[in-house]
Amino acid sequence: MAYQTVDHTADFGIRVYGAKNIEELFLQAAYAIIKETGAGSKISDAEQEIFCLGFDIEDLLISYLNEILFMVQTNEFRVSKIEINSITDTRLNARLKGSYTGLPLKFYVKAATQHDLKINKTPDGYETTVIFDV
Amino acid sequence: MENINIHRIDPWRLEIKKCGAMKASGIVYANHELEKLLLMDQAIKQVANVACLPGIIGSSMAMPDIHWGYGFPIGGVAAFSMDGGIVSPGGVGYDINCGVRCIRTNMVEDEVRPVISMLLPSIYNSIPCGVGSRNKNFKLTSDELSRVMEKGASWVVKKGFGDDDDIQYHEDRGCIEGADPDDVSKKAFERGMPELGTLGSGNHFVEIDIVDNIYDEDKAAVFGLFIGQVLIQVHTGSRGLGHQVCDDFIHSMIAVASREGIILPDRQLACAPLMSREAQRYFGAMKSAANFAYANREIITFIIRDVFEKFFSRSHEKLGMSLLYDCCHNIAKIETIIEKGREMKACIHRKGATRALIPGDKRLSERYIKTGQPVLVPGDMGRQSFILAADKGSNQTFYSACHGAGRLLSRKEAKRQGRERMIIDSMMKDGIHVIAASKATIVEEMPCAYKDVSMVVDTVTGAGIASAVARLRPLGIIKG
Repeated sequence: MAYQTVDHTADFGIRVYGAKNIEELFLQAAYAIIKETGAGSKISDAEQEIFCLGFDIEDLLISYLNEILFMVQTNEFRVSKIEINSITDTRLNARLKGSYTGLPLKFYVKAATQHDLKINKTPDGYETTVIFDV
Repeated sequence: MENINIHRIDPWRLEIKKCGAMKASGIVYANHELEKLLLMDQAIKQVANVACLPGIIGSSMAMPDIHWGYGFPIGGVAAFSMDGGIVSPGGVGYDINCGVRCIRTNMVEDEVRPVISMLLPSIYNSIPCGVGSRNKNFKLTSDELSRVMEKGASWVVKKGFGDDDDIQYHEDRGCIEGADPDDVSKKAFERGMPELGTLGSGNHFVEIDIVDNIYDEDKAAVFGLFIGQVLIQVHTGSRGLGHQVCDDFIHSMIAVASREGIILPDRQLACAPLMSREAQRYFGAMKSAANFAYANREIITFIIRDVFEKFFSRSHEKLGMSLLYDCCHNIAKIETIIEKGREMKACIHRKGATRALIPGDKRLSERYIKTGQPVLVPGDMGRQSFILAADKGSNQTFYSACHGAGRLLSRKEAKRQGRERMIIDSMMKDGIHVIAASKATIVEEMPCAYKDVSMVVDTVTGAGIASAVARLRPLGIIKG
């Protein structure tokens, strides 16, 4: 997974890069925050389907990450795999596989923010930086 | 705004000259020492970004504990006109009405220090702390949560978990009128129901302090403070409920800003015209979350009083455990200000700032009408905190003051520099006990990750925003 954590005085960021397409960028961003917060699971005995809307592709990314954070924090769902069924600039449908293990998270982020958010297409693939409120 | 022009106005203030899309100048309160720290991150640019929003009155301001946030800087204060102005959920932040309160006791250090190593774990074990904490004892039904959101701290008192006298020592008397739970999403309800009476994680804390210096005997007497006295500070907010409200409305206001032709220098500044339906819905939901936060701190106070009663075998009344003040740090409110000699109503955003009502303001409780509002300024967990009294200079800041020390190091940098055991040992040498829900929190929150709060206090007192009343030093700290 190609991502790195980013320094921010008050909060916390992840930079995701080298994604072949938008779908892979979305997957990598979600797997990055799942890893950083300790929300992963090796067990896959449950599924959750999510539907997200966005004003545009950047807003859609934030809606989708915050939907996953809600599942993780409020429903105590731990994620083993994400499958994006469909994605446009403003709509996304995905399936989360995992388990309701109730295992504690190691790190809490309040939300993914829109701060200085931009999805860029570079010669090395799609990249973006997301700042999370801690 | 690539070439932001900053110059010093006086020993306490810097001005950011209006340029580019800025509709007003920026004013940053910082003494010479703090100025050196300002260029380390993007906070100055964020002050300038806020000045680009429609209907801004006066200047986009920042208190001396300013640091890089998202959208607004932390420490940001801005007022917007009722006619043509906006409200921005990002200008309030995710932790709506994150705030701090101070509880007095009539005990002195010698009574508490010998037992602190047992008292602190008793409090820690009674208040759910840390990542995703929930409180089974106060789990609410959906209807009960609605009542909490409508009534705030008074719901807690009415249920018998607080003292009647507490209410008058809250900002807004513990309840902002106009909360509408119908404007709160189902997701926010789900997050809020198990979280009343929880501390959470990050920079939230319960701290037992000792008054170690008094600067103003008269005001200290009114505040009920004396040298050697044990005080308790509580810092937390609206938990997941507030986070969800903020997220819901930033999302919807991106579309509103586009519809209204508002150009946003940063998407996190998404906003809606004050008179729009969307703004009114946000106010209904934000006030609901703010009232939940008041109730949360009041429940935590009940738990702390209960632990002290059991521990010292005396009622909390006999222990003198009364509320000094409770104030919020993250809020947007319609308040009366004076601009260019004219009294007017405006939407004041405080993002990491404290309201600071001057002596004589009728919104103050009778006790504080002559002193001005108590302004609580917690420092980092290893150094002092201050209690100030709002002063006349706060009419230059829309009646606002600083809220703390302000972060200096990122959490990542703190982890690079700090080692948990060394931090705990070093604090123990200074007589400070600390318990945290995680090792990472201790490192992220280590003293040198923050600015020295005395520099912040030097600036607000020098600028006449507030005057120093007392200094506190920590004895025991619980970090979420």
